[in-house]
Amino acid sequence: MVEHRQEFQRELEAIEAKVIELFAMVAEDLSGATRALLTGNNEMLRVLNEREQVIDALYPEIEELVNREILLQAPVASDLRFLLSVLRIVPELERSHDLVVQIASRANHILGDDLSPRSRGLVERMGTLTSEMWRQAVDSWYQRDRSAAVRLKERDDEMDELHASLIAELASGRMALPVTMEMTLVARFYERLAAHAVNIARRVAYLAGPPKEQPAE
Amino acid sequence: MAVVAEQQQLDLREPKGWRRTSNRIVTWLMVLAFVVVVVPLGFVLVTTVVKGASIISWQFLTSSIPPNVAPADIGGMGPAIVGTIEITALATIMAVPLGILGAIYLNEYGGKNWLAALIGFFSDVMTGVPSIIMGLFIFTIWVLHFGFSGFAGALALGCLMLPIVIRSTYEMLRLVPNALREGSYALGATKARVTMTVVLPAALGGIVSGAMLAVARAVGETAPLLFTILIVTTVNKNPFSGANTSLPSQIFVNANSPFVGAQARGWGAALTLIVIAFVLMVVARFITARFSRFSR
Amino acid sequence: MEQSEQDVATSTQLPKSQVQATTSADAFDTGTHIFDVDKVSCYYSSFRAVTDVSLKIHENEITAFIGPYGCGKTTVLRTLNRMNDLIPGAHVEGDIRYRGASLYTKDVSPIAVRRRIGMVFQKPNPFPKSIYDNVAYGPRINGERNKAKLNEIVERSLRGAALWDEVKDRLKASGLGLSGGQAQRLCIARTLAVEPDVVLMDEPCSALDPIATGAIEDLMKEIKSRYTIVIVTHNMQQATRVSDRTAFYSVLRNEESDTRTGVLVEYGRTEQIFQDPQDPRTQAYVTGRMG
Repeated sequence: MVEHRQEFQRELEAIEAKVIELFAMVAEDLSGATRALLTGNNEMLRVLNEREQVIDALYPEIEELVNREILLQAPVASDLRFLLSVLRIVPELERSHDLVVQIASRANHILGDDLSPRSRGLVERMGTLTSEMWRQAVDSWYQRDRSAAVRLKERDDEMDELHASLIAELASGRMALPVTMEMTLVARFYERLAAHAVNIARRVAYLAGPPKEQPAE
Repeated sequence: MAVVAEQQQLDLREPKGWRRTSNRIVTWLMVLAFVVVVVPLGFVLVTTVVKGASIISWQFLTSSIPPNVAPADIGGMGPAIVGTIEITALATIMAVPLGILGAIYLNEYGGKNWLAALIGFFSDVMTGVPSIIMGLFIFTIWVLHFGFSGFAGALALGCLMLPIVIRSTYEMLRLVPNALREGSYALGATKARVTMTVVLPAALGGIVSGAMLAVARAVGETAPLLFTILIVTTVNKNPFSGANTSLPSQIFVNANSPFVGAQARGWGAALTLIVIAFVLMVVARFITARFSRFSR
Repeated sequence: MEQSEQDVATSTQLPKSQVQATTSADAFDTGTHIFDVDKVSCYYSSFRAVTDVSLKIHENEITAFIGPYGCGKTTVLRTLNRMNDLIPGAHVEGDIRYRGASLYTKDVSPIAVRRRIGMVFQKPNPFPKSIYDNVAYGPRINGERNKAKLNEIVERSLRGAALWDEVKDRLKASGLGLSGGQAQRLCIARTLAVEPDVVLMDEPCSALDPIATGAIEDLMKEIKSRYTIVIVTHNMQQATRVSDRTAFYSVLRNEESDTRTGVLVEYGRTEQIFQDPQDPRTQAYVTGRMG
């Protein structure tokens, strides 16, 4: 049977492509930012600011496309869920990239060797965990995997533990005050990034729809 | 600055050639056919009026029928008029309700069953039976036992009218949209109710004009009356016994006569008959309009 | 999620997975069931138009039947008030219970059924009578003769159909002289005049413009507290606007025997059908990808 509304389908796929692009930028820049922080690399920040411009142009474009489809095509079911999910996820992605830029900008203010070995280790682990969580969030969106939300919640608990440990380490006063203040902020940024990843996975559960039961043969 | 382009004048007329010509030919053929039909009709009307108008008077319409030798200004066609009205009225009373009920059965109840097919078939056959055969038929089964009478004539005319009424009523009922029936059924009406309260009223205009057509036909018939009323010249107020007469019958008799007076009276009768038919048509139109006032 | 059980007749050779309808659990809870359609198949002579439909219609709700052409939704609708009896050769297998009583046993009078379960049709079909006589028709055939009572019924029904103000000065005018939207409201008034329990509507707005459609939809929502409404519609936005529950029917093709028949695919609350359809066929239909 012929499928109808092929033009509409193409427009939906175009929106999907842009959302994936946005996801990719956030995920890539996140690992870059962590590295920049740990190695004291200021170069990264410039790259990230350029990316920020791109994103600032991209996300209103996506929102506009979604508005248009909702207005003109009276979407229902999976089409509606998709468009509404995009509308909710795009701001999260935009804010997440802001956080990534913030993390990288801290590289300006601290030198890599200002950090105590323990806090450095914790930051590395937090960075890795966040990147992993983001990778999982992107995958869950791409595959419409409703079960990712549960898994990401567990990783988020891990993140909370790391965050608590880092705060404890910072509170111990082993590092200079300015560094401690910066790192507190950084800890917060990572924790927020993880939370956004969890949120996104929750939206994916809505997008994917209810579990389909197999009819008995 | 508008640039005026040389535009081809758009010609939307039928292009010259065979199609235009053939269109013209056929149009003229149709006009010709119409004229061919109307002209004789006009002739008949004009002749009748011219020949019969002079003799029409109140005396003519009410006096009894004189012997044929009598001159034109004596007597009239009174008995014939009375006879026509009596016999046709009787025939109508018998044929029209029967015909309507038959058509209702055919359309609403019979469907495709054998009885409906049978009735339909015989009704169609009856339309083609020559009217004189009807007369002979009634002669055989009625007149031989009960004698000549207006009633016998009415029976013969009724047999003529019946298939016309059945056919026209059937067509009118068929034209009633099924949506109306469904609407009535959906309100909890029985089939009889649906037919009586929705279908018949909706078709009534057409049914009445169909019945009028049948009456107009019957009014002018002579042949079936030949063997049934035994044309006489006296008024017979009792249609059930004794011979009777009618306008067409008198026209027949008078036209055969060599006497000028009789012939003149014949023309008068013909004009009277045409006027009666005309009046019936007008009444039919009026009734149809009245009953269809909700169909607009 | 509950699955309705189906016994597929061996003669149909329909794969069981396709004949089973998906029904959400809450389709069976709360509220009285006005209709209990139980494994109903509809035949026109030997042609099986609809196969094995089972669902329950709830009181004081608007239930929408949607689906592509030939899926049997109108056929099922018409079985609810035995209007299919009018079609020669039409018969029904299975049972339909109305308030617990079977509609298809031998001693049931279709006339009595239709007095309680009225129907409004796709193309407005006012009788060629006056507006007053149109509305008074039903009560009159039920034996009502009292002039005052009839006047009251006519006014009440026309008010109920939101038509009174427009026609109160011309009740003697022909019912055929009304615009499409007014004519349809007249037909609704006519149906309401016999005070039915259920009003069935077969695509009531498909011949009407959007304004008239809006008026009728408002009417439906207003009267649903007093009646139960089942509506067949091609317009999915209409289904989402007015209905509480939606049943999606589709056409099942059997390639070997080259037969087609209608089946109930999914039935549930309207928000669920249009937001999270369970069956891929429902998803394909409501998103307009496939019929």
